[in-house]
Amino acid sequence: MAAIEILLIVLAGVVGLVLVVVLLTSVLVPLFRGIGFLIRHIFTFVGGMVMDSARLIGSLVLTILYVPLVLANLVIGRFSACGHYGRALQHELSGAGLCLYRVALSHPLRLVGLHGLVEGVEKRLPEVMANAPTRELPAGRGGKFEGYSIVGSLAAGGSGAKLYIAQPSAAKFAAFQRDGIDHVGQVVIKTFSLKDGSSLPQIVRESRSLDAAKKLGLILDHELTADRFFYVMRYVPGEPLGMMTKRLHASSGPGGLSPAAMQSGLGYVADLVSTLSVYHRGGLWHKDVKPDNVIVDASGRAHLVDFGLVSSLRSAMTLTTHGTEYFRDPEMVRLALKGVKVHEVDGTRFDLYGAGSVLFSIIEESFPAHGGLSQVTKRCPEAVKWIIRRAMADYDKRYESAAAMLADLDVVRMAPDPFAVRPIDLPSMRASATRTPASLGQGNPLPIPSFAAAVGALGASIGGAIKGAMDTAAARAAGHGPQIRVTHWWTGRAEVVPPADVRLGATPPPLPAAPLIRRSAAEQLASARGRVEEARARIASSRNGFHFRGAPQKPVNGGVGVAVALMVVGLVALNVFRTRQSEHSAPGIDVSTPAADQGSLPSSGAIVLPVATDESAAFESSVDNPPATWPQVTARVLVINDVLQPWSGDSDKTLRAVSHGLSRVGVSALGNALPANDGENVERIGESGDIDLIASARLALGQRPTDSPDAAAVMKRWLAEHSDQVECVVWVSPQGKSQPLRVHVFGGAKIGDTDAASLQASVNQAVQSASR
Amino acid sequence: MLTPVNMDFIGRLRANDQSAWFEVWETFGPVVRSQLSKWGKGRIGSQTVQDLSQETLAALSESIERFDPSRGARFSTWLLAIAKHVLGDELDRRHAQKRGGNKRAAELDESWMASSTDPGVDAQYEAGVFRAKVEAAIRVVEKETEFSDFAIFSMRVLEGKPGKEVAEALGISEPTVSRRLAKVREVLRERLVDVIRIYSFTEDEKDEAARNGLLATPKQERSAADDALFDEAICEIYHRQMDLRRQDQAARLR
Repeated sequence: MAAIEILLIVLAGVVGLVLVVVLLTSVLVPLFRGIGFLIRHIFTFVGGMVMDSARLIGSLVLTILYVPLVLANLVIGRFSACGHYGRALQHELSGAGLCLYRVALSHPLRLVGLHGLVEGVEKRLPEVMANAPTRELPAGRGGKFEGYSIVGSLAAGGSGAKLYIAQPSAAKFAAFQRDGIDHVGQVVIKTFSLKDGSSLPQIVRESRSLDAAKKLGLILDHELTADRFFYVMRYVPGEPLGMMTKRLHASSGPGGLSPAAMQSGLGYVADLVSTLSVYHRGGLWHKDVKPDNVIVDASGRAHLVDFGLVSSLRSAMTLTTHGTEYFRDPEMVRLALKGVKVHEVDGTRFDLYGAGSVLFSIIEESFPAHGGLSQVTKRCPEAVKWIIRRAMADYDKRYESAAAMLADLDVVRMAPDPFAVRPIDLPSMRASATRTPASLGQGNPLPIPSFAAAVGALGASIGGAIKGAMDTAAARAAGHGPQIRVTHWWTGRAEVVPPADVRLGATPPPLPAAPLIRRSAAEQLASARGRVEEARARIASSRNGFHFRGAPQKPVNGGVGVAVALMVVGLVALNVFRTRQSEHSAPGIDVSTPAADQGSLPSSGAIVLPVATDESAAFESSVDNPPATWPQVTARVLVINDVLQPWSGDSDKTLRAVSHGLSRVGVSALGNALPANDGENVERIGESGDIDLIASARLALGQRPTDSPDAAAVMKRWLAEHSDQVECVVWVSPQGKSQPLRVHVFGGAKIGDTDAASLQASVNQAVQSASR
Repeated sequence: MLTPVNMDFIGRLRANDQSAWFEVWETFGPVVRSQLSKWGKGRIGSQTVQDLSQETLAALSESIERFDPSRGARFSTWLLAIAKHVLGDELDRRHAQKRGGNKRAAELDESWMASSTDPGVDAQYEAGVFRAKVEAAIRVVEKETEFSDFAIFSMRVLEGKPGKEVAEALGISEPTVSRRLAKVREVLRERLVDVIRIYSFTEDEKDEAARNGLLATPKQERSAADDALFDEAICEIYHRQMDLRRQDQAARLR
């Protein structure tokens, strides 16, 4: 009996101990944690109140000090100092206001757990107010725009231009309709004035692509006068994408976007990429794709605005580094700093990088600080991460077109569960990676006078709901344009009515097959051979005598023929005279390069060309004195020139020597790197294939100097990969201030009907001969 | 000791090759800015540090002519000396503008460093420079490898996803993932050697990779455990570098 009692006591003791432990862990620990949290919370409150009160007092003291300074400077007429103190006063006042708001509202509400009511208000409110249209009207004659009445203004961007909202007059409306531009409401006038601080280069840059932009309907009107330049575009009332992103995240929580917010965000990017596709098909690229340049209207549709940096894809200008950091491809900056021309690269890929970084910023609510290596840390479908990665990948590995990116986006957007979509399910990962939706008409000319019509034809939704956007995307994929039904005549609000067979959630029909963008190797080879033949014919014609640039097939006028004949006789006579004269005097250019030992030259080496110092020894006069035997080499040589324009006299002379030397040797010089041989100081615009080759070679070489051993190996590999198009690369690069140009020849073991050493020697000899 | 490779790199900088300057600033800018902010805490604002740009650096090619790295200075020290010089010059220019007079010549020991208790280059900065070199090598590998191969590397190593998950996402088998990952890893090992050689002046700097456990084992003796350690080290370096870039970005946008 006693044993049982003891056993029961022990058992009760054990149970009691267990209960105590359970009580301690389940009740007391959370209780103490709660007490700790409360103490921390109260200390945070007290600390915040004390700190903000101290800041408030400090700001008020400074404000009191600044006021007399402002007034005193105003009285004595030192307006710049007055402005300086005024700005400081404004800064202190806004700081004091912020502290007051925290002391009176934010901290007390946070203490009682209602901080959600005012969370972020101190940032959101000023941002909205700063971006709101104002009633500020332009002053003086410079602020009048014929045919438009100004009704307000917008906050200026980083370019320094002024932005006004205007109402076109009846005459202007009629003019727009005559040009086929419909549905124009209020417009935005972006004006650059020398008086307002804009610079002439800025005005020139902004006005450069105007005609092309007008053809696309991006620009409605423009005017360039002696002191100002303005252009008119549609007004899109709405909010910047950056602000919309903040709202999406505020409604979703700290973990990342909710499924609904994700759909909205993807819809904005799809609209953006659709618009970019229109730009690219019209031969333009935007160059400044970033959240601030995307406006989301009341219907939820995203519009790309600001055409300040829009450029032609085939522009002969040098790439510039303009754009916005974090949304600008670093590769573009590298190429720009190397002096690469716009037409030598595919500008559309830089826009796609921007679109990828915009998508990243929507998902992360942050900038892609790490470029292409930036990592998505918030909740995000794997397929969307893949799209970002692909869009921001290395230049030659990213999407080939906006259409390809849009196809991927549409698959994710239209999926019932975007998180279930795997990267392998994306069109770019399947066999259709190089195909594009037929409805986008990739590669076809753009037959539209109106930008809005273009985007509408792409299926962009005007109704703002996500459903509308998704249906529109489905319609786009199906190749049917959506119908638009106006629902509110007073405000002009409309909604998209999708075709009957396309509904939300329905599986998108398979994309119709489109021709492959990438040509087969055989076609590329044939094309390359054709270009080579053309290049040979061009060189032959330039060597054989006169040719008329631009219109060689036109019959020559008799009078012109006589004049040309007389000129030729005169030139020959002059040349004979000069030749005789030169027999009695030393040549003007001292060629310091040692005579090439043709048998011992390596397969790749450098020819350091001397800089001509004697202006009297004009190159043109010496090239007609060839050596007794010109070596003839049949090979396709790609010439790449890293010398930035404008070329100095010495550089130009040296480049002409290289150009003429190569043509004398008989090689087919591809590329646009050298000056034309007809005496004009212009660059030839290369064939599109040459441009691709040059861009490819530049990318392959990267930042390596041309004379490094690594470069020789890289170029050897590159030449092996492109052996069907090029057999040799002649790379001209600067060495530094007052240094001669460096001409480097890269070639494989066998080049055409000769070898690398012979070609090296021939080029060397020809260039030296031409330089004399 | 200068090798032909890094000598040529210095030559490009001296020739005012802006793309070379851009490369340097893209790679090492955040580390240098972080160090300058630390030194100038309380004396110079973050905005002043951020004003250091590749254009400013490029404009100082003449000062590089006077700098001789063959005296035994480390690349990291050399880099910081240039940045310090530029920042000092910028501050002098601002002071001169305020005074309305001519600017005086910049000095390497700048007065704004006086607030710092430790003006010497610390181990943290050296580690930061090394991480920047590893990041540069990863970028080179990104350029040189196939997109899908690098994506596998990124998902497996940088994001730390299991091989099975990567295989399912990309519709390939796990052995394929491992094989392609090994290919990228091998390229990365090679490029690490190249990049560190370019951005190193001393033998001590060249051995950094081996010292940090990245290139300790020869290829023939390498095991799966070595590869796992390598991946882990790369992942850690990448994430620390990403944190640094985030801080740098926050300072720039402040």
